[in-house]
Amino acid sequence: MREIIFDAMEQLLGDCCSPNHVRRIERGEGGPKERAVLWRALQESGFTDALVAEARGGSGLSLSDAYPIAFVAGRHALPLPLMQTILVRGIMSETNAELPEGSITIAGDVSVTPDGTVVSNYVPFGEVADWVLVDFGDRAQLLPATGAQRHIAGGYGSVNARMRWTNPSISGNELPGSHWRAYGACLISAMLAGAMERTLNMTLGYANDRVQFGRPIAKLQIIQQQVSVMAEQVFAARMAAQVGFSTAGTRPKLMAAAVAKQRTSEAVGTVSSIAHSVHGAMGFTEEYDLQLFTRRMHEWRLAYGTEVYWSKIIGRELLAAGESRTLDFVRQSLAG
Amino acid sequence: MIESLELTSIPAEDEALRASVRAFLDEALDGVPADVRARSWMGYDADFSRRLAAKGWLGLTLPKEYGGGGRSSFARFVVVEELLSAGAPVTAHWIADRQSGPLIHKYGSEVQKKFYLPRICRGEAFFCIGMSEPNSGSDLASVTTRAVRTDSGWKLNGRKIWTTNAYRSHYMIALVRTSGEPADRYKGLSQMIVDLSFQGVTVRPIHDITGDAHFCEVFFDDVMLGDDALIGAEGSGWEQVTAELAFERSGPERIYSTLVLLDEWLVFLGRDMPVDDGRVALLGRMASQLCVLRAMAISVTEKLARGESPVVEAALVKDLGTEFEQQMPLLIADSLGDDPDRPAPSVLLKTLAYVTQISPSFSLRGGTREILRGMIARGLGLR
Repeated sequence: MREIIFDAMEQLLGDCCSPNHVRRIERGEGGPKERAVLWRALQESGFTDALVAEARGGSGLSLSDAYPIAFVAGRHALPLPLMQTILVRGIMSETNAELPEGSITIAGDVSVTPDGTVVSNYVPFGEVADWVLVDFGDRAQLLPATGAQRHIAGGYGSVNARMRWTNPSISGNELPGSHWRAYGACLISAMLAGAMERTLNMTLGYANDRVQFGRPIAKLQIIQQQVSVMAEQVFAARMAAQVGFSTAGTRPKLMAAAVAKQRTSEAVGTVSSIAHSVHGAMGFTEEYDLQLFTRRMHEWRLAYGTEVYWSKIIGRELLAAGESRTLDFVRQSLAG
Repeated sequence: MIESLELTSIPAEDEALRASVRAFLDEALDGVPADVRARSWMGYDADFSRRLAAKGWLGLTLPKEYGGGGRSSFARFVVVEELLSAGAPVTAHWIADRQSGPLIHKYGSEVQKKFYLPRICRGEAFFCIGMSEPNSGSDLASVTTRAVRTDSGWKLNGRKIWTTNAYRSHYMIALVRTSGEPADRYKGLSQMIVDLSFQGVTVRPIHDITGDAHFCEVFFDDVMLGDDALIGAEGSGWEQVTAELAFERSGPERIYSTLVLLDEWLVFLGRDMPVDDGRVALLGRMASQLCVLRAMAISVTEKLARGESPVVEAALVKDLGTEFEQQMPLLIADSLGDDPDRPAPSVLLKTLAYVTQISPSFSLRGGTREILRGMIARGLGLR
């Protein structure tokens, strides 16, 4: 199942999400129309309803089956919240709720001012999404992105936003709350793993092509040793993301999601710095595609909590368990 | 080339072994202090090894006809995981169980299998590995210890060093030159089983940085070996050693050799220390890393269970695992020293001291960090 989905996603994004598509959407070129064309391609592929029950016209996949969708989205730096949409639609389809048109992202935080204004300081994909799921703890609600003031919350090319809704409608499109940050963290961990794998492949290609001192730099031991370290981190990140997705249901488990985001985020610094170091100045240019992935890796590390945030969650849970063996906790609570 | 590692779970019938191993260890290790248990797969207790053998937990992956358990690599993973995380003293049988037994099973003659394997499974034959020499470390193909044909077998001369447990093992499987010169590198190497009680064998233990003696110098002076000492084909020593190292590197000991320290610190945090963001984050980070390393080790085990020889993948997990193990005593020391008004219990400090001292060996034994990274680079297509 996973291989079929991987190949289908690769083909789809290879066609409709080239690095130039990514650049155009990041820069806002072509306006909402450009995004709509890409979103329509994703929707027509059927992937947006991957987790929707078959009885409601979806594919009825488990989250574990859907892992390659998120991974490949990361491999192509897909600038739209496909995986978030898939999860929210999947969970909504378990109720009688009507599934909304368009893309859905998950806010990373929320605060509500006394006058009822809703503010989220970091909404991954907030700049390009049609809907934002905001988790108020006791409940979560889909808010229309068009009803918000948006400001880009990031540097060049970022599609993350700070969003503010004054007097949002508080009825309709409700879901149970409290776990959406962990869900977002889990989803983005697989995208991180995909982006990191892409940078590894690019780094291997570049090291084998680039000739200095009369031979490809891949033949230099210092390059070999560095890229091996990078590969180790990418392998660990890929495994961590799989731990996060390892459920036969639709919802990530909290502790497995914590491991996924902790370990993938921790890998970002090493993977990004070795990729750039091997690529030299070329990898630092706008024109070369490496930056599409390394910029995102740093943003996604911040999204839904960094490695320290999730380390604290895991550490507190371990202490609260009163366990005297770390490995028992790892086997029973973390491993998904 | 290197293959991706996919998440796998341990089959239920193998997981089912855990409860009985746990119950046995709870009783056997009752009252053994943490700083002693921290020695784990460097801790020696021949009686303990024989008790494990009596339970059927040695040679688990070897066929029943040779006294083994006839089980999969997953079964061994579960037993080994329990042994190491509890800090059981397993070094006596460790090498025989992990690699010498599987090596003899893979390359040995029927006579050799019938002779050695049941003894290994009963905990009566302990093995050591004769690879390094005074002038051959990472450059293993340069070994000069030589076996020369005689009318009735082989005459062995040379010297091995850093041989773990040679002074308390019955046999060594040695990588030796049987033809050609050191300049011929991989060609002309063979593996010999040497009975360490033979005349001409001298073993001298070397004390390490912790005060323990486990590794040794071994001298061979005209040691007369029979025809049956050769294991596998003459001249195939390099290929066989490579396969053997895959067994050596793919086990969970590469992530679990410091778990006794982690657990001792965990108990101290839970019992004596106020909850503090820094300590909690460090604890959580180590649990998370352990979770991912374990998943990677299980994935490598799955490749072993399918009969593959995951040489590069094992090297990758070992290098990541030893980095985790080497960081742990440094990070725990940082944390323990962050509040001098709350001194740590002495058993925790002793455990920390042992692990700190032994930790440089983690990235030396079984192939240095640099050699492993070179193998990974080759697997990635950089060499």
